[in-house]
Amino acid sequence: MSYYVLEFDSGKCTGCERCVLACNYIKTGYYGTRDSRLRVFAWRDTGDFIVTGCYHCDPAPCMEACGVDAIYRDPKTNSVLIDYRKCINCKACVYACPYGAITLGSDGKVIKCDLCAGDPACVKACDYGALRFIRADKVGIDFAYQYAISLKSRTDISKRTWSGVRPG
Amino acid sequence: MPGGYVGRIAFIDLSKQKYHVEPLNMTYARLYIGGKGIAARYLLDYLPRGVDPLSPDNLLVVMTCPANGTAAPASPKYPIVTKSPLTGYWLDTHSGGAVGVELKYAGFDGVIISGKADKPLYLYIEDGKIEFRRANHLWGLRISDTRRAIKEELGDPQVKVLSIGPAGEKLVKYAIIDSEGRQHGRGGAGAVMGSKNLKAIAVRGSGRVEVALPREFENIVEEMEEKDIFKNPEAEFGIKWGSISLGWFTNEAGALPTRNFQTGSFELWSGIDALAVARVRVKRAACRQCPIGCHNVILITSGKYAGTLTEGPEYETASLLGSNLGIGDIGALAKLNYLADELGLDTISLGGVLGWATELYERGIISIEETGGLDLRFGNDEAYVVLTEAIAYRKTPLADILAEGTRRACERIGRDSCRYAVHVKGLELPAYDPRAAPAMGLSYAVADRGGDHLRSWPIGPEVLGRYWLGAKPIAIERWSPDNKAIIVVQQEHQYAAKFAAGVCDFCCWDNERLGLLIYAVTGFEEYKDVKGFELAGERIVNLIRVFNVREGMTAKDDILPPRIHEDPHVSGPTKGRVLPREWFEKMKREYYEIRGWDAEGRPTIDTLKRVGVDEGVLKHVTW
Repeated sequence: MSYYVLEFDSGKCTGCERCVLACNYIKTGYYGTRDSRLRVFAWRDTGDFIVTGCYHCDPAPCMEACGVDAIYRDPKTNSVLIDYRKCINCKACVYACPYGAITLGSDGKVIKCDLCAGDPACVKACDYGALRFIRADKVGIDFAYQYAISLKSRTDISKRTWSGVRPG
Repeated sequence: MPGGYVGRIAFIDLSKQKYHVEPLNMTYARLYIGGKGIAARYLLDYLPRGVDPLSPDNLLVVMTCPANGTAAPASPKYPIVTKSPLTGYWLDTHSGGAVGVELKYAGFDGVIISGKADKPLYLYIEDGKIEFRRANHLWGLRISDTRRAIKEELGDPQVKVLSIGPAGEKLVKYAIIDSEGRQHGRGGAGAVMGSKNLKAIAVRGSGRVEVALPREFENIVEEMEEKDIFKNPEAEFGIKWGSISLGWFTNEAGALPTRNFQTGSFELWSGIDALAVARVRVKRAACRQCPIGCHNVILITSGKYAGTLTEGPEYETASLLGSNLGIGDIGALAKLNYLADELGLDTISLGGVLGWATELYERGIISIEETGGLDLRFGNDEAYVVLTEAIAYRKTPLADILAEGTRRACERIGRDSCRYAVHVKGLELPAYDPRAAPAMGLSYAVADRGGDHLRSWPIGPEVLGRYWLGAKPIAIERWSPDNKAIIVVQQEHQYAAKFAAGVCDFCCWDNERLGLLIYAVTGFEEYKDVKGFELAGERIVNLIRVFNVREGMTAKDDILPPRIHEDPHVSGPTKGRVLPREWFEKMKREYYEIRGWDAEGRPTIDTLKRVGVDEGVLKHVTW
């Protein structure tokens, strides 16, 4: 369990889309959103922002849907990758993905997140700590901790903290 | 195509429902960088002199900047440019909403909209194509409902929408254009859009933006992020609190407009200051590409306005709709902020108008019959909520008058009411009282779009007492007119060039790095040197002054409201202070001299040649 996982905290996300821009740039060399492996959905009226992308499922539906075994798991990073030498661009994986994380790039090929071979550009671009790359054994620890704090401070309202709010 | 531009400008004629695309004029791009600079040059070409701002002949220009859409930090700002219905002069109004960036990805550096649709329309711009779509069903909707309806109709949640609210449709002279929750606030651009029967512009793009010098660009971006943002104590306030933190500084300096500018500090400020906002903050938010994230999303959980969820208040809003109306309750402020954003009103002008009307009522100049039974007293938030809605829909006779802005409203009411109107050229003053910072008076008087704080910000150096002219710090005496004009001039250069590049005013105050950023994005060698950057700023200031003088602006318009010179502050640290007329005249004279403008405030031919405007500008010089 020494691999790393991408974790997203919507409470900290500000909707700046720097992750999208960074992803697009590192994969293609131009600034835009078309070839980003991540998407940001924004509800600006309420301040809700959600980043969606590949969760590298296990077992992965895209891998199971692929008829030519072009999708495989990298044992080192535990990420789900596409082998473009085998891929026939049939898009079966696109429809198999429950999260819409596989898309068609501007060159017409199916594209998905590859965790930048273990050093994701989106995480480096996130200045708010909403996207983090953490060791698998620590997944969810922050959420659990926030919950613990909320239980702890339930009796004393002045000590309550909220996710996404920096203390004054 | 040099980096930073996509090279296409769309000319949209709403009357004929046709458009054509022209290549971006690269001479203009090189000289005027982008945004307001390029837009000003196009306005000179295409907007005839003396056009009525609300007629079909006026142009509405949405222009992007070279840094938009790249990874440059805090650089999503883009302007909407037109002739203002509030002032009758130049108007550029910026926001960091997502539309500017998206417009560039959609393949346009800018769109220039003329004419008037016979029925309500909205535009759908997608990847180089523009569609005219019916908007009958959207007419009358509030701003967030409009945005939602358009996204649903187009079936794409990632469409970015520019839209007006009911106030824009009713041609309220200070109506805003909303850009995905951020506002093009000042000067009434929303009314221009409403006069064209244009409800919204939806934009979606899958295109690309490239920079000219990728390696230099990455270096300068890294340097800016470190020096201008993450290790900059000034930026830290923005990161931690947002613009509202400015209120601590102005309240202490006596520059916080209170009760229609009657005084400069507010005893209830702690009820609506940055701490009060942080207490009800549920979320931070940011403009696209921005690592600062200065927006506060707040939720009011108690009191009569419980349940109000809004983004804001920014400092200007908290001041003009808060202290300027005698409101010290965060709930009431949030409600007014929410209403203004949803109905489409500029919070600064709205606060100015409401404060002014309240003072008239308290002085007995307007009666309770005229207010329609509203007890319009400072601090009466319920009356303000009612009146705000009435103004947006022009519901009552008084609201109909107030919807015209203080200058026109006072002319219609008469009865000495103009004595209490606080505006420059018709644009209500923002939240830095010149009686606490004399140079701020000059800044307002000579700002290109009327009373505005985003053309220079001398209050900072004045109150802190230090200013760097080049590398040499000079001492600044706060209560004196000396050495003030030069600060305003230099800051105007920086702001003009920086905004033209697309960088936010809330970040990055180093001319050298800003110049290098423009150089890296566009590849234009002249910006590598800080002098080239400053000269470009000066060029843009002069270009816009040419536009304004052509529209009839003279030195007589560069004045301040009588209150600033005659009514001393009644309390606080600046008690008894006014801005003496002779100080103001001295600063103004110096300003014209440094600028190389004549005594009438007109740029001379020599000055224009020195700053290097293109030949085409000179033929507009008829003086």
